[in-house]
This record gives sequence, structure tokens and C-alpha cells, in this order.
Amino acid sequence: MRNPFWKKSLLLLIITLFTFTLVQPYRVNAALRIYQKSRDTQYVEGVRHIKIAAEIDFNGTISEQVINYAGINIKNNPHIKVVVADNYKVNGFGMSTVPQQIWNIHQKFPNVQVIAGVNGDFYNMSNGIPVSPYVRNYEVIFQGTTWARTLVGFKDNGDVVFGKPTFSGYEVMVFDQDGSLKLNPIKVNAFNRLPANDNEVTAFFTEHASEINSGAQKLIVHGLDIKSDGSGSRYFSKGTFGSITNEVISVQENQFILMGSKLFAEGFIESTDTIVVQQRMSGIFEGVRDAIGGWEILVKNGVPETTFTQGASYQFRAPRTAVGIKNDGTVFFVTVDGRNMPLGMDGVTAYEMAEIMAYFEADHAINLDGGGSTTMAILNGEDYDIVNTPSDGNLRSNANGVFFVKGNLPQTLPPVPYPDNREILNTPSNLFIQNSGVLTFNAVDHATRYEVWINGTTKIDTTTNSVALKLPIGTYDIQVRAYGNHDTHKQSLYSEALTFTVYSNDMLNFIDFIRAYTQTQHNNNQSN
Amino acid sequence: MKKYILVFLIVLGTIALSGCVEKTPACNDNESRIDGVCVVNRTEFETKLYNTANLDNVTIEWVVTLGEETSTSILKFDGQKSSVQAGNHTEFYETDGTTTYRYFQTENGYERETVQLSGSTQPSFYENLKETDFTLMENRYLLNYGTYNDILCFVKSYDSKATFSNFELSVETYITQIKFDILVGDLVYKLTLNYSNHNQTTVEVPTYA
Repeated sequence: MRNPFWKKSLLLLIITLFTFTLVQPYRVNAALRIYQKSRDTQYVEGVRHIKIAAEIDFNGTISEQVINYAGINIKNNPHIKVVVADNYKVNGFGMSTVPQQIWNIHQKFPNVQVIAGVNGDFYNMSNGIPVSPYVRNYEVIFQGTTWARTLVGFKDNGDVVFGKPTFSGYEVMVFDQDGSLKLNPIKVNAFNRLPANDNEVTAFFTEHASEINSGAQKLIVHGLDIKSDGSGSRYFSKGTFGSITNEVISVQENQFILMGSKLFAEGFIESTDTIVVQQRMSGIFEGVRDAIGGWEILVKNGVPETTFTQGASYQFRAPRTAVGIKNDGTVFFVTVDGRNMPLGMDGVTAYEMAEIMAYFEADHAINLDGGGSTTMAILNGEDYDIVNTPSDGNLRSNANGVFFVKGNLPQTLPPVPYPDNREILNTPSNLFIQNSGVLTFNAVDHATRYEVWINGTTKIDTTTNSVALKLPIGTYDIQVRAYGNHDTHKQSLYSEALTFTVYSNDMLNFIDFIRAYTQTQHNNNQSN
Repeated sequence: MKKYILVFLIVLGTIALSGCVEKTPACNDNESRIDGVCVVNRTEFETKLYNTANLDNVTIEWVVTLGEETSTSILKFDGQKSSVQAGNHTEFYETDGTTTYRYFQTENGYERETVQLSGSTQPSFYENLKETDFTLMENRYLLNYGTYNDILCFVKSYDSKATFSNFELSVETYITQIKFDILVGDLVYKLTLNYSNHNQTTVEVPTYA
């Protein structure tokens, strides 16, 4: 140590260490450290699934966690959509597991396949009614018992909106037989009371137990789906035209009744129409196809929340589910298992969950229902794996869920004017399918595109009057419909159905043999 | 000289007269003479088969099953006009004098072309079957085991390696149904031919472009 070189070196080291100790970096995400024990990544139809077993250090508190992530950029992958789902009964609500909700998606949309999904909103565990607003395929199924919580909404173009829900009031929406909304919807002024004047429209439901004591016109609608939370103020109702009467009547089961002179303008509501009464979402949520609520914002503008004062048992460790969005168009779901410490599943507080969502680079994230509800399912071949470990030891039935799906969701036609004086396109005719499977039909004047429908369920879009069908062996009914400029031309009727059978080559050979036999017999008949 | 001429005339006359003697042609063993014509001896059952084979007005539905796949074809014969609805398309044949036309579907409607049909005719694959070839069981005539060249020739016209089995008939005034299997390697085509509208079948050829 007498060597001056060693003295200088030691001094330099001490100064350096002292400098590191005093000088703080500009910003360090020091709150959360994830020490991964294992990390498995797989891609399912483009959806990335990551499973991490880790020790996490949150401000010095160490815990064991199992984290599942499923996400994809839906802007860059437009064939992937985000939808919400439930398994509600007609004319009511109900509870179901995530796999049951997946099954229901496949029932409603045969052309899509669920890739992954998680449980959804908090809910009333006695009847399955969600706490927040719930929008499913443009239908505002429930307006929510509170609008104070955060909603995440998914638009058909891949946009994701995030924030407190806003509404502009209930409306009567009339859809023609093609599903086009007739402009304009009519505001509903009140439920279960008579209109106060000619400008008011009111709706009656079965909560109105007495007769509707009025001789004014009433539109009786046969309910396809009527949902009420029993409050007398929150409804979703959809039905078909029943009848119009001036008699004093009462509301029967599975029907609702509309009153108000605005409804009875000639041709506005026709016998083939579908009538919907629902809340209209406004602001950033206007036009969302699907929306689901959560409780507690976890990440806002890329910054994890550090202050929680309200709900979701934020201060306790629990299994948790969250949905996150990134500004680049990525949507992802995360589950963290809990209540299972022997298996290294301690569960997380809301603070830790916020940090985990930030770890996955969320720009915005909200906390969904957790605890025993926390479930993530991923497609595996023909079936679905529950990739997390639900803390109840079995799958919990909950209100709803949110899912990545692959495929084409049904497209609604744009609204139509009332009265609708647009020219109707001619119906495609002379459908013919060559042995090669190419369908041709007569081109329709002013048509800009055609829809080829197979068995009324599968649609092929084409802009020409010739399309290769490429169908597997089987028998199909083929119909074609022409569409033009929606503003000037109303779509055609469906063409007559053409039945087409795809045969195996062995059967086709035999059919050729039958034709040859016919020729031979015809020849024999000429010689008799 | 006169004697020679007389003898010559007698010989000529004898030859001429002998030509007037009716000679009876010999019929085959399975034939009988009816109105001076040899006619094949047929039982009532065999006559029904023969009459069916020689119908030029009848509708035949061919139902062919191959595994889980089934095709149904409708063959209509109405004298000079015939049609076959097979697969996804219908074709028509019309003979006018010595010309036969084929009408076939295209994306522009029906088109017509002239076709050359074989000048020779072929016996129907069932018209020469004997009643003794069958075992009657509950109104169904089950073909006995044996060699039946007409049927074999028919199935081999589909595939040279084809054989057949389980041949059976149902008969009323005419044949009403024929069922049999055509076997080609591992493939088993199960055929059911339903005959109907005997002498009541109408075929109208389509207008063509």
C-alpha cells in the first residue's frame, strides 16, 4: 500500500463508487423486477402466447408468479378481431365459463374461430349482469349499473377506444330485412308511461304491470331478446313487428310495446323489420362493435398507476386479469395466477399488476374481473387449453369475456334513408357452375360487387360475375346478390338458389359413364 | 329330237314345280314358329325383361352410392328425344333423320352440336336373362351365381377390371327396379335403377343459342 500507484487507484475507485451512489439516473423503472425462471413462447394463428414463471420484486417485496400473456397487433393483422362474448339466455342474462363463451361465439359466427380469450367484467354473481356497460356486436346489451368505471371498446376497423362510457339516451332503431338501419333512429323519452305529447315516444315492458290505458296507436313488438335488470330503467330489447292496435292492452311476456306518433309514419316500420330499443353510446365509443368494462385503470399513457383508492381489492394479492393496448395497435390480455402459493402462484396487487402491464409495454390497461374468475384459454388444434390455473380449482362461470377471433365477422350494411327511393338492382340470373367449379352469372347493371352465398351461411365477395368456388365434396345451395353504390342503388334480391354438388373423381367418372350409357340407349332406340 | 325336247321340258317343269313346294325353315331349340316366324321362347317373366329392354319411352332413375357419396341421375327416353340429368348438368339428344344432336349447358345457355353415334346396337345387359337364372325371394328376383356375359360386358364398358355382384330385379308389367354392385378394385358402386313412366315419358329439347 506504500506504492503511490495503489493509493491513486484506490482513491479513484472510491470516488467512482461515491459518484454512482449520489447521482440518480433521469428515470429508472426500478419498481418492478422480474426474474424469470421459465419463459415459453408460442404463436397460435399469429397470436403470441407467453407463459412466464418468475420471481418478481416490487419495491423490495418478493413474490412468486405465473403470468400468461396473449397478444397481437390487430392493426397489422386485420384478419384478427377482438370480440366480447357471453352465454346469456334469450330474454335474460346468465353466467358461463370461458369455454362456454367460446362455444357461443362459434354458434353465432360460424365463419370465425376463437384463438384466445380471457374472462371479462365484474358482475352480479347471482344473475350474471355485468357492472359496466356491455356492447356485443353493436348491441348495447346492458348500459351498466355504473358509468364510473373504464370501458374498452373495439371498432370494426381495428381502432381501440378506452375511457369512461358516455351515452346520448335510448333510441328506437328500425332495421330493414337486410339489417340496414333506417335513418333516423327515434329518441325514446321514457319507459313504462304514456307519451306526454305528440313528440314523445315511450316504451312499455312487462315491468308495467297494469293496462296501457290509452286509445292511441300502439306497436306491439314480438321480443327476440329483451333484457332488463329489473330496475325499470335499464333495457335492451329487440323484436319483430307484431301488430298495431288502438285497444287498451297490457304487455305480455316476450313482447314490448312502443307508443308515439313519430313511429307510425308510413313505411317507417314494416312487417319485415327488426326493432331495437337500446342506449346509444356517444363520444369515442360511438360506433364500437364490442365493448367491455373493467375496474381500475392500470396503465395510462404508458405510465403504470401508483394510486388506487377504490376497488378490485387493489391492495390484496389475488389472481388478476387485465387487457392492455399499445399505440401501435397491439391488444393483449394478461392473467396472473394466485391463491396457490405452493405452486409459485402468489397473486398480485393492483400495483403489481399495473407494473406487469407496463412491463408488457401497455400504453393503456384496465383491470378486469379477477380472483376465481381469472381464466385464459388458447386454441390448441381443435380444442382449447386453459393455460392458467384458475384458483377455484375449476372454471368459474362469469358474465362475459373478451377474445381474439380469426375470420370474417358479419358486416352490417350502411344505414338507409327513409323514405328509401333508391333504384333496386336487378337480380343476378343464369347461374351456372362449370365442371371445374367456376360459377358464372349474368352481370347486373350498376352493380359494383356481388355476394355469393353458399348454403345461406358462407359468403364469397367478388367484383366480377365469375368466381371459383373451391368447395369440398358435398351439396350446396348457391345464391348471388348484387350491390351497387349504396347511396343511389339498393341491393338486389337474392337470386334463385342453384343446387351444386361436388363429387369425387371416382363418382365423376361414373357420371360420365351414365351419360355415355344414355347416348347408347338413345342410339338403340333409333334402331328399334 | 322331240324326245329330248320333251324330256328337257319335263325336267324344267319338275324343277319349276318343285320350287312351289313350301319348305319349313328350322327354328333353334329355344324358338317356336309363330305365324311362320321363329320366335324365342320366353316365360312371362322373360317377356317382361325383353319388353322393358325394348321400351323406347321410359324414365330411369340411377342412384349410385360410393362410400358416403351418392349421385342421382335421371335418364328419360322419348323415342327420338332423350335426356340425362347427371351430375350438375342436363344433356339432351335428338335424332332427326340420320342426324343426332346433343344439347349441352354452357354459361350462355344451351348449345347444340351434331354427334356421331355408333351404327351398331348393343343388347341390353338384362334382356337375355332367363327366369331360371334367378331365385325369387319376396317379389325380388335374385340373380344366381354364374357367368352372365351381357352384364359383365356392360360393367366392363365402365372399367375393364370391373365385376359385379348382388344383382336383383323387381318386376311388375315391366321391370321396376334393378339393383347391383359394380366392383372396381376397392371401389364398390352400389347401383339402384328405378324404372317409371313407361310409355308416358316426355322429353322436350331446350332452345339453344
